Amino acid sequence: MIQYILRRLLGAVPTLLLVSVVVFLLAHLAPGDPVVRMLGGFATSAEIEKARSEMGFDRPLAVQYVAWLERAVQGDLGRSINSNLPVIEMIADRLPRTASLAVIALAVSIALGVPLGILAAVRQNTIWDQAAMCVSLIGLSIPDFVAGLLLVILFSVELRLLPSIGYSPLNEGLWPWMSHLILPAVSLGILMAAVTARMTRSSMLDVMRQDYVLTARSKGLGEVKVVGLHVLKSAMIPIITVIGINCGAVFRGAVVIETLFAIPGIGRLMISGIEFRDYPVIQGVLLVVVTLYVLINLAVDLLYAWLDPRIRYA
Amino acid sequence: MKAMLRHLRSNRLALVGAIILLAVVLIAIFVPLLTSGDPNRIAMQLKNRLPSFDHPFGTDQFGRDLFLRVALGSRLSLMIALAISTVALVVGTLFGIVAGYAGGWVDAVLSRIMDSLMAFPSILLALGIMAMLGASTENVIVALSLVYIPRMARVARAPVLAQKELDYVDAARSCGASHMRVLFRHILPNIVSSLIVQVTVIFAYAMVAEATLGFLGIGVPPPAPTWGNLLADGRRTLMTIPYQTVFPAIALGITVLGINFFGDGLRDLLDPRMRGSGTAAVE
Repeated sequence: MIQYILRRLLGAVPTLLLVSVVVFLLAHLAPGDPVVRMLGGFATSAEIEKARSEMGFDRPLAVQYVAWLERAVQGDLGRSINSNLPVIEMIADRLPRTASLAVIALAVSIALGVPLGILAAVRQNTIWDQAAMCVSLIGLSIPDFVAGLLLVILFSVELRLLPSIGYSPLNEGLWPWMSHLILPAVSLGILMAAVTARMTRSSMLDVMRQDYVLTARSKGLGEVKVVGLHVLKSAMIPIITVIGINCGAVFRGAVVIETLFAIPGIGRLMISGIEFRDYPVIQGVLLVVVTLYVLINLAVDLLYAWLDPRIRYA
Repeated sequence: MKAMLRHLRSNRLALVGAIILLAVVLIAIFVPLLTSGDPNRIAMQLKNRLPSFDHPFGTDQFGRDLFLRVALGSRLSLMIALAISTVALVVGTLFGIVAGYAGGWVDAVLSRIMDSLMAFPSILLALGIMAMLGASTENVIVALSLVYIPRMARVARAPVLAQKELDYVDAARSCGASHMRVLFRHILPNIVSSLIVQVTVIFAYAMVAEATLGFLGIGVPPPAPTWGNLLADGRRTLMTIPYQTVFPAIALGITVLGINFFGDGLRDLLDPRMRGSGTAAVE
């Protein structure tokens, strides 16, 4: 197992290196002079030249990349052009908010998706199954921000039950924190719940066709025990993968949902970075998010291998 | 085609999807042709009108007819999604089958590049590219094509790996067929069904992604009435005049639903092994 973990960790290194090249190039291949773009139209040519050499833009691209990567690996992502704060601190500041959103959204997706999938599988080819799959297909088709807009209209505008925007930190009370996150998390969780439901159904069905399930049934075990003890346990493996994929979807959704609900998380940071052409911020967020994303996927793969030893030797 | 029609009749969801798609395409083609109004004309005296006979969806905060804007939005959104999925299909397939067929270092290099692009959550890659290129319709197409090319390439590469080991490839080679001929005339037709299934999925994603970029204000620049832009406009009046958001939201939701219903049916028809597993990926 340890050998497998090491092999997978090493395998992630080239991917992350290439990712860093892409992130680096995004700011440097943009049409026009990056320094002029960052300083805006009012800078004098002397200011531009000074900034250029300060930021190292006068050196060859490869040298700049290596220097940038060296600093980034040590946690120095540069300073925001707009606020002059270190980018790494800005990200660290906002990450807990995005993480709060992510955790609740994942909880929503599991709470809705897994039971729906089990229902569909246990009652395969009945009206229950068809209804569950139809609902999940609808869930798959409604973009998260559209679901969010409709939820705001219903719960904030019409029923006035929940706040429509903003964020309240956990240390200022549980309910304010929850109430600000329910609508964003549900909007984000619906799509993930739909995927989870479909995956739960198909992996349950796969397992239910296995001989040992037949054996369990022929021993006279009740349906609840067969499903609960035997099927669900083996079916959990692919379900966990989907939950891992959903962790990635959280980042996708975070950008859009944080914008919609004005939650000051890293997604929002990225968007304001783009609005102000704040390239260190854009690069920093991309680098951190993609690294997290790769690591989460890796952790899911490792969990998967731990649950199902056959994978390690494949 | 006949088999497809027969299948459509037996698969009710796919039929519903096909009808929805057809309706959206007809609206996209004919409504802008048959009406004379300019969807971008500002008429402040008409602003924020409720839905009525003259304005079936009401008017927005600048007095523009929302029905006309949603209808024209369907045309823009469909055309942009079509452009993106076409580029992804052609370029992605080319990369995928060449990587799979050539193997060796060609495969290693191409696959690594594709992997590193796929390591980004799709919307973040699109945002990064848009930040670099600036907001315009062409750049939306470029950015989202780059996002979906690797996803297409991956689907094209895998079956080529299996196909190239089969006897018919050796047979064709020994008859003197060139690698190009083997790849494009013999192998490609055998993998085309999985490509079609994937490109419908990408079409739906592209539509959502384009709307997302518009909603974030980093897509097709306003006043072009793409559905994403309409939703961004609607958000400003969400608390006071929610129906300005409801109509474009429903238009986008129903269209994507139609594509997914249709795509699901198409997959059952073309790729029966996948029947019922029904997991479109999240990205």
